[in-house]
Amino acid sequence: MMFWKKEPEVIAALEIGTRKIAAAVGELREDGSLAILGVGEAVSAGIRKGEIVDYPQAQQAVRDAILDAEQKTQVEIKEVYLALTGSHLSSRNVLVKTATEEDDALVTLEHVRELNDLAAQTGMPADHEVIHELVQFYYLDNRVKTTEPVGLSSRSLEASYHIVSGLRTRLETQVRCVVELDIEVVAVAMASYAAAQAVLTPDDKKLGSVLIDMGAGVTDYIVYVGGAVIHSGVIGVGGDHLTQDLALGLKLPYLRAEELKIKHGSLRWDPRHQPETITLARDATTEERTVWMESIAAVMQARQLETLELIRADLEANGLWPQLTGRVFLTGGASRVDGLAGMAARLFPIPCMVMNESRFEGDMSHNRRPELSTVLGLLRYAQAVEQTSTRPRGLARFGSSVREFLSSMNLL
Amino acid sequence: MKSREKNMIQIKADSAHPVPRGGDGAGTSVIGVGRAGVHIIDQLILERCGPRHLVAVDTDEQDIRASVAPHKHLLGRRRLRGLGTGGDAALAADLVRADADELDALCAGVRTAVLVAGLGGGTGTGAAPVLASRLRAAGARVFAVVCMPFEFEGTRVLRAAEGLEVLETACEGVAAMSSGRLLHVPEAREDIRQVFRHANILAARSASALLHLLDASGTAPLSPAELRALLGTARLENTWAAHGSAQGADRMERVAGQITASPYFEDGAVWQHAAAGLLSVVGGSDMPVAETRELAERLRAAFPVDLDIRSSAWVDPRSEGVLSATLILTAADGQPVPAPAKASVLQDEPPAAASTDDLPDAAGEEDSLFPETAAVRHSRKKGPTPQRYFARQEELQLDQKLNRGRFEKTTPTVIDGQDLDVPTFLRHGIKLKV
Repeated sequence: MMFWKKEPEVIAALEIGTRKIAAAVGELREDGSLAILGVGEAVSAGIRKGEIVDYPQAQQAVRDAILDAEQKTQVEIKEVYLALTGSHLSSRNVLVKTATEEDDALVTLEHVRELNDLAAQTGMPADHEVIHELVQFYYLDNRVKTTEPVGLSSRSLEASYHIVSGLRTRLETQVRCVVELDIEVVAVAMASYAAAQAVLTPDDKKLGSVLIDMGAGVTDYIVYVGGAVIHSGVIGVGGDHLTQDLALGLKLPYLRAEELKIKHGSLRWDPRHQPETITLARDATTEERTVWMESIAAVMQARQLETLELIRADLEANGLWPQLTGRVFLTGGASRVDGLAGMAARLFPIPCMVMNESRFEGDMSHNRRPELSTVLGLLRYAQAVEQTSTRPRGLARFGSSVREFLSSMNLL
Repeated sequence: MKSREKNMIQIKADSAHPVPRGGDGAGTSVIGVGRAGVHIIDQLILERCGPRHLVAVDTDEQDIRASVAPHKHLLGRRRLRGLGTGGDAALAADLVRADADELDALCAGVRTAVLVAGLGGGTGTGAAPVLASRLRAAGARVFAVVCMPFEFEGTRVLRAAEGLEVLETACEGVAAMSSGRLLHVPEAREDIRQVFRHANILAARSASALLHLLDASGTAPLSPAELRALLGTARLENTWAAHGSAQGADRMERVAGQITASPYFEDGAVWQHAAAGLLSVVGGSDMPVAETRELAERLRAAFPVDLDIRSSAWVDPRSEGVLSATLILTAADGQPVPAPAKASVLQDEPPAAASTDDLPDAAGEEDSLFPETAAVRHSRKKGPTPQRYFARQEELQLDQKLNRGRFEKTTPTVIDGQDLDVPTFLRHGIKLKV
């Protein structure tokens, strides 16, 4: 097969998920817009809760997904943007301050860089590596708020950041899994941050919205207020747990439970409109079985409700609900489960919607697949990175320059 | 029941004379083994309460590098290249034997040592017993303070139990503390790391207290044999500790208050299973003997049952103006130890208030000179006989197989003490039609 040499205007994003590995390829058009060329996919192996537990298997799956993407798009992938997740990720908000020169009191890029460095070091566990240093706001003298301080006059410069970090060893494993295939990792992004770029509009971010990305292995969530990320989190529970709960509760093999979840899974059961039982046909490993719809709903409802309640409680503990005037968006593969929108609407104090449609041009066959929100959002993130001039190369992505570079993209 | 006179503090009451100055701690050492051990050593340094000779031993280079211990040793540098044992206790034991010469040089001159470690992992579980044996062979008295894993950690609990058995034969005595009992510390609800921080602080204080109690320059030192007898048989939980520290005019009252408000003692269940108390009091050169005596008496008065409390006071030049005390309760041999946290519900009526904040003013109480927790007061109302009101007994279920299914080999997702990898319907007791 003939491959085209990758042209500079083509970008690729990779998500190593628990259920599937997805590699999306997009084209940056001359007018600056992004068009999806195609998405390559492979069934994951050796990955649990968003983290690699069997390296060779996981790497093979990544290789398959990349090959699939190459075949579908006729583009040779040499470098990717990588989405990261896992319950080892942690985030915090920090406020750092510096003083400008006495004479002219002019805020320069140097001051901004100084704050970036300070923020990265503040309260950072020794075994963690920074993934994002997202500037929320800058504050000049008398707490005057701005998003672009360079060139303004102020004796002091303060900045609030949302810092996302992860265990260095786990991050390195994921990056190595890709790099060993001779594919360069240009930059990394937290999965929920990437998904937010696909799902949330600038208005949603300004109003104060929550994005909950319910994946197979983990549930990530991110909170925007005033256009900036003010909170994020990862809970190591996802669609896999739903399947496992069904398998253990209904005493089914895991794969049968997965099939049952996809075909008949629901968080509600109404005897007036739904059958009481479902008969699972006999197959090579199991006899014919009858399962109660009521039990399926009870198992799945308990799990989904618990996950959403944990998120609601976390946001409540951080005093965020009063600041949120937008909506709660639910996306990711596990958000496909029937009845989720109703459950979320009863639980959260602001309107909720299951986001099963994204707005991308080009190959639009993936726009109705919430499980691809992260990888498609990552392309949009990559688009923003490519359109900035200070793009880091090679290993610099994991050094200090990448922090500077990522924070230069503030309020994406 | 022992009479109160018999339990009186064993120091001469002479308020005019301060406690004699403590020794310089020469020949005493605290040795931290494994990640938890190294963190406990760091905590000793941060709390400024340990002896000068502090040693950190681990197989993980990151932990060793991050530690502020004055003496550090990376076990198995060549074999593991600083990457840790990955939970292999046998490997850790081998590595101590391989690095014996370096470790012997590091611990030369140590006469009394307290090993601190977390059991259930690789290095702490495997290396601590071998290291203890070597120290004892060199003529040192060796005690150990160990933190046990959470009840829900499955295989780690089993590994810890095996490790404890080996460690007990290698040491004079082992004080084992349960981390699970700290899960209801208020900060821990927000952040599980707070449990580890509290556990580390209490382990550090306990290690330091054991050394002070053994130190001949204290007011009423214990002999190693006495301490061994008081610690009794090592079990998954055989000691509970609390610490208080204060300065100023009412420092003694505040220290007593902090100790009785400790999360370990909060549910009142611990009192029923305690056989003896060890109180180590540390202060500056201005600390009068009467103050230490009164502190011991106040604590004893706060207990719902009469306990034999052995106390010793020790002068530390670093503690001028500060009074600090550590109380270690030891479990009665053969008594079942209540499971942490869950056992906090008393079988009779529930405690009237969960925290000291809800209690009425202490001055209004005839028999109470300082605030006591509701659970303690509740127990005391019922009388001193343990059989009449002991807490619901839930022992650690060592053979209980928590069904984590597909997630058996992954890091557990634990939030608010719940292992989320276990199906929600199982944890919530939802009955299913099958």
